[in-house]
Amino acid sequence: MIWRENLKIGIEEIDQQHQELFKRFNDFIEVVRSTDYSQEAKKNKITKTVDFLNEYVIVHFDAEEKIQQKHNYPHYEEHHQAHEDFKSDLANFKEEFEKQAYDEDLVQEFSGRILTWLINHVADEDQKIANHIGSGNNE
Amino acid sequence: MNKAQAIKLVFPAVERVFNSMFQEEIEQGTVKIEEDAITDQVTVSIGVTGEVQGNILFSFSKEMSLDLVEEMSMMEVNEIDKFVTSAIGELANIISGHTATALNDEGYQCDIVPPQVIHGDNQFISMEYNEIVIIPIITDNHQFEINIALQNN
Repeated sequence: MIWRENLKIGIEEIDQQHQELFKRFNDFIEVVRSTDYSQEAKKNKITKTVDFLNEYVIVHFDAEEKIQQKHNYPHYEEHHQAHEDFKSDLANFKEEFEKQAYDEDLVQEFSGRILTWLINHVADEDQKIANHIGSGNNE
Repeated sequence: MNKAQAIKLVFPAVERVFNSMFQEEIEQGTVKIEEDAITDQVTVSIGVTGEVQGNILFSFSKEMSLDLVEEMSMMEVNEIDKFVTSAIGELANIISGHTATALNDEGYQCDIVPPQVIHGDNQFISMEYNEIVIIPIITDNHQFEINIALQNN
């Protein structure tokens, strides 16, 4: 995933967190798509990244939701629900992933879905926050 | 659902997603009404339930599917695998989500069912109704079809 300037929403804390998320998720996809690692090495690396993402999205989503509340963002409830769904998706994947030996289909299916979800969320849904508070590129 | 209704419902959703995610302008090809859906190498079926029901089928060529996923992941992708079908399935899911929101805004309570992705040659997919509005969508380098079979319940 490539970070581009027009993905910024104009709030430094959030923009930095988005860039960190992109970086971490890129590392994740690189491992998932690599043929250079053994399944055991893949499993260890993916476990570490998923643990990180699990904690990081909570911090990031909380920060983003506080800004929405501060600015009376009209789509707060809907956005909050999207965050909750993502957290559940990640938690469910973690549980399934840790339960068994390396499951290639599970990993590829999850990472493909999250790739699209994350880009759309930052490029579209989060830009609506910037439009509302007048801080982004689209105002 | 007639041509005009289907276009009004779906085109803005596709445009929004391609503009924001791929920085691409899209165009609409000649819209047709057919009894059979147009399918391609990667076909995503999304069910719609509620006051409007039926299904929406997205048909992408292999080349387009690979290009979209390469652009999103910034990695070389040579084959249609679970990673690709899942990423494309989510793309169709997001477009259909916007479509469902537009229907709700017009007063029709409805929801969408998670995507089913079919991959391979010679697909035959039956749709819920035999009056299918087919909207070709033209992007910078490709074309794909959206088949819409929806009826007011």
